[in-house]
Amino acid sequence: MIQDCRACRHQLSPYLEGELPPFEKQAMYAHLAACSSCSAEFSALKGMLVGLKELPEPPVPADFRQAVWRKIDAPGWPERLKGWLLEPWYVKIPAEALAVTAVAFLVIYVFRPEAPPLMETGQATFDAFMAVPAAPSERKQASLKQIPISSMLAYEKIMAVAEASPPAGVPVHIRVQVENLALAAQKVAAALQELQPSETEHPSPARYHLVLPEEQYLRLMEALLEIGSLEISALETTLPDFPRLLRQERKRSRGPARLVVLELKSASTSPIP
Amino acid sequence: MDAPPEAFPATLESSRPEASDVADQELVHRAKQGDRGAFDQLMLRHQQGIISLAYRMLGNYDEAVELAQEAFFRMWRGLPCFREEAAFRTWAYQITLNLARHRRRWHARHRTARTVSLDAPAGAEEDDPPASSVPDPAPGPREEAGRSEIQEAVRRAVAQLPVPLRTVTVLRDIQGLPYEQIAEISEERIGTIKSRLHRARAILKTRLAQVTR
Repeated sequence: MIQDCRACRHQLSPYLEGELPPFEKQAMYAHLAACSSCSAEFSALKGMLVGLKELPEPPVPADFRQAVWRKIDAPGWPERLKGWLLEPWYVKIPAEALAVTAVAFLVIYVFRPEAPPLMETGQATFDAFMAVPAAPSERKQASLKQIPISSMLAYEKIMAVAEASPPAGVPVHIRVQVENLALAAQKVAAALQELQPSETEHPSPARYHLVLPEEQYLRLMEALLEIGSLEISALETTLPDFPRLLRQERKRSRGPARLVVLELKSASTSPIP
Repeated sequence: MDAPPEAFPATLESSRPEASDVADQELVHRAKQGDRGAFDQLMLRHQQGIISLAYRMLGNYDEAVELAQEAFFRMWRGLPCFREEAAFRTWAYQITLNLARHRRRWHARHRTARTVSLDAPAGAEEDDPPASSVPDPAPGPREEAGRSEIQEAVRRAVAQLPVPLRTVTVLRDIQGLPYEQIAEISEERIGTIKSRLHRARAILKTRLAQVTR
């Protein structure tokens, strides 16, 4: 027999559903017969279920099925997209072709490769560049870019020279192959007079030992390219005075310096007078 | 001493006519061949149940109708994949419940500032359906007014149940489906369905007792 009303009320719904085993079902039956409170609860539960059953159902709209068929028969997204893109064709196709062309031009214009600076300036000179303080490697690169446009060939050669040269501060051995030694010597003298290296030794008619700031190195190269073809290499042995001279030049010019051993070599055998 | 209260029969019978699964099978078979008339018949047989289920789950009539239309649309499109030996109603209710679940999630994500209607009773939840959302099919005489109030209280109490409990209450106590079919629709075990149902009834009884006091 169920004495506990709480336990009974917990079982009211299963009892209603016929889910209790026979023994418990009998116990519930007996308790409900004896307990008016639980009996009232049971009646309330039944009443509630009747109330749920009698809830009015929402009405079905008169055109419900027609609306479903309209939805089913409506064109799918591929057809809608096709209609949006292509109809009317005499308007859409020309307009879309124009739009695609415009976008293509815009993309090409925005992402076009930039012209090198010398194409735009064309007037920047070597000297103008020399006035701009920059790291040696940047100066080297910038100086190459500032060559006047008329000297495109020289520009390419100087690029090659710069690539071939050892890093700043490393002594350089330059051999210049010339047709006429005497003429070449004159041109070298003229270039050195213009450059005014801090130190110049002229141990032989065709040999020069120079100490000059890094920024003048390429100017020297430019001059030498006009004299003959160049062969550049790092100097394998340094001259005894070079370290001292290098230090002095660095202190003087407040920048890296180059030690250059310049040799003129003749393609013919004519000596320098 | 009063006679002991009799238990209800072991299974509660639905008060509305059940759609025959055998008849459904024949219609489904024809609809799968492209017979629009057969599908139209299926709609006629199940539209009330689908709209009712959608309404109980969403709490809004217009949304329920739109959802029910979407459900039938998906059934038509999904017919080629439907196994004819399965019960059409089970499949239809599954589609409807899934759509309702997604719709509720969408609403939960896009919920804006909470608004409270001055007409709503104190303690009403934000998504309570308004009393006027369901057109009263039988606006009866004054003596029906009290009954109407009780029905509104019952409807509101069901709407306030958590979704898993609300689902079993709607399918079992309102639509009268057997446990086996509810388990199939919900993809849960029968024991779970029964347990949820008993819990739901206990909650409803408590709430209705507070309301009617």
